[in-house]
Amino acid sequence: MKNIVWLASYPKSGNTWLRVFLANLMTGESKPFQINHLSRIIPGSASRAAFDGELGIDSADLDYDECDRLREGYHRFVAGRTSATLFYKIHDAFSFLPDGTCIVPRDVTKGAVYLVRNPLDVAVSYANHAAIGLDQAIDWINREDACLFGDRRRPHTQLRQRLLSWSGHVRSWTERDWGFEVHVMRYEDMKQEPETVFTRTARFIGMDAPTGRIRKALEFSDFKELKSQEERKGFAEKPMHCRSFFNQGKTGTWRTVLSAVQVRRIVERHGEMMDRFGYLEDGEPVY
Amino acid sequence: MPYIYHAFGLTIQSEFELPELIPGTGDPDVSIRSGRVPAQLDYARREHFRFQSRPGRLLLKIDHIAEFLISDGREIVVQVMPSAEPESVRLFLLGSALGAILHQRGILPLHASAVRVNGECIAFCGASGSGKSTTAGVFVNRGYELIADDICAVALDAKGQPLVYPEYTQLKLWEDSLNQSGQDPAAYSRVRHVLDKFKVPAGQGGGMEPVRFRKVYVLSPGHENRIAIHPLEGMARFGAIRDNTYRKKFVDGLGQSLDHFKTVSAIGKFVPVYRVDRPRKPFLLEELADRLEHDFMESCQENGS
Repeated sequence: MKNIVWLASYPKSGNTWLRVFLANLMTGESKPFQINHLSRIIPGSASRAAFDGELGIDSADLDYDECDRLREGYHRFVAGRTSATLFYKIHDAFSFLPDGTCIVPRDVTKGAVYLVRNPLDVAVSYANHAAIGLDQAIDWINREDACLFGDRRRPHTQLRQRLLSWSGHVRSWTERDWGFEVHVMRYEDMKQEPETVFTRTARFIGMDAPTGRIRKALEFSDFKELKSQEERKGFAEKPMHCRSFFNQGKTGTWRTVLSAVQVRRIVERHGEMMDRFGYLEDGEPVY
Repeated sequence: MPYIYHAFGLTIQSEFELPELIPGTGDPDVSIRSGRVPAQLDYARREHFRFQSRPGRLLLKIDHIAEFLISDGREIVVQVMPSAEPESVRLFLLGSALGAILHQRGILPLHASAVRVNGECIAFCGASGSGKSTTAGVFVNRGYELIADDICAVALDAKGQPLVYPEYTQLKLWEDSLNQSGQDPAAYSRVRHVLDKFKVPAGQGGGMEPVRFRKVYVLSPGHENRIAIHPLEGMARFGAIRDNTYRKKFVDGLGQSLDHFKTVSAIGKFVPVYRVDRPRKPFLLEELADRLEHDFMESCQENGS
C-alpha cells in the first residue's frame, strides 16, 4: 500500500510553513496549532528518537552509512503498520546508496510535495538559521557534499542528511520520474497567491477542503502567528545559535543583503536550475 | 571454559570474552552463548522494525553485526554475522541485549550514568546526546568512582526501597566530549572502529555491592544560556523516570509493564529527581559539575551521611 507523502525540500524553503498549514487543516481546531507539537503530526524522517524506537538500539552506535542503509526499510515497515496516510518532512536529497537502496521507499510512496525557493533567499535565510556569514552560507549551498548533522564527533538528535548542492537537491527530486507524482510548490507563489497554491497542494495530497477551512488554516499558519508563537514559547526546531527560526518570511530579501559578487557566485553555480524554476529572466535574477 | 563476570548484581557466564565486565565467580544467573537465532519470534506481542517481543522473549537484529535471542532473564543466544567485529557484537550485547535481560528480570535499567558519592548513587540521565557520560566523566576526573555508564540498574529491596547495582569499568565518550575535558582521544581505543567514540577506563574500586539511590539529575540541554537545577515533584518526577527508562519500548511487549511501573513509582517516591537545564552549546562542563557537586554534597551533609 502506498501511504507515505513526503514534504521534501532543501532547508529554509518553506517546509515548516507547509507543515503548520497542514497541521491546522488536519486538526481543524478553533485555535492555531501549537508549533511545538508539529513533529507529532508531521515528523521529520531523520528523527533519531523515532528511528531508535524501531531499531531497539541507540542508532548513535551505528555509523552514518549503516543508518542510511536502514532508513528505506524503516519507513517501509512503519508505513506497513497502518492504512492511514503518513506525512514526513524530508531534507535529504533523493539519492541512492552504493548498494542500491534509497532513503525513500518508492513502493510505499503515495507522492511528494517538493518545495523550492529562490537560492538567493535560501542563502540569506540559511545564514540566519545556522548563525554563519553569507559567504559561508553560499559555500554551503554550492557544495555537492553538504550534509545536515554530519559532524561525527558527537551524537545528534537527527540522522545525517545528505543534501548535495542546492541545484543537486532540486534536480534529485524533480528531474526524473521516480514512480510517484511530485507536486512542486514555489515559496514565492506560496507568498503571492497563498489560497490558490495551498488549495492545489491540499487537493494533491487528498485533503481537499472547503475554502473557509483553507483560509482558516492559512490564517493560523501566517508568518506573524508563527513568529509570535516562537517569541512566546520558543520553537523546539530552532538551532542553538539561531536568534529566531521564523526570521523574515519574505521574498527578495537578498536584494538588500547580498553583494553583486555574492549574487554572481550563486547564479553562476545554479543558473540552470534557477532558470528552470523561473528565478532568472534573461540571465538576471527575478523575485 | 566459559568466562564468568559480575555486572548489575548478576553473575554472567559467557562463551565470549567480555573485557568490559568485571571477572567473577559462582553460579551464573545469566548465560551468554553462541547459537542460531530464529528469523521471526513466534507469537510476538509487539513487532518493531528490528526487534520483536513477547513475555519472556525478545529477538533483536542488528544488520551485519549480530542477532540476539534473549529469554526469561536467563539466556542470551548470539548469532554473530560473518565479518562482524567482536567489539561491535559486544557493544550491542552489553547494551540492548543485557538491557532486555534486566527488563525480563524486573530490574529497571535507567538510561543513566552514575557515580558513587559517600557510598550512595548519584545518577545523570537524559536522552542520547544529553551528556550523561560526559557529566559522569568529569566527576570521575574529580576522583569519584563510576558505577554505571548508559545503563544504571535499579531494583527494589525487601522494603521496597530502590537500590542501584554497580557495573562497568569504563565510560564511552565521544571525541567532542574528550576534547572538552582536555583529554586526547588518541590515548583510547574506539568503541567500534567506525565511530569517533572511545572507551575510557574508569576504575572500579568500591565493589559490586548495591548502593542506596540518592539522587537523579535529568540532563536537559536546550536553548537556555545558563544552568538551572529544578526539583521535579509528583507526576513530573514519575514521568522523568519512566521516560528515561533504557529501551522503554521493550517493556510492554515483554509483559513487564507492572514491574516497571512499581520500580518507577518507588524511585519517584524515595529518590529526589531534578531537571538540569543547560545550554547545548557551550556545554559549560566544569560549571555544570561545580553546580551539581555543590547540590549533591549539600544534600548529603543535610542527610548526615
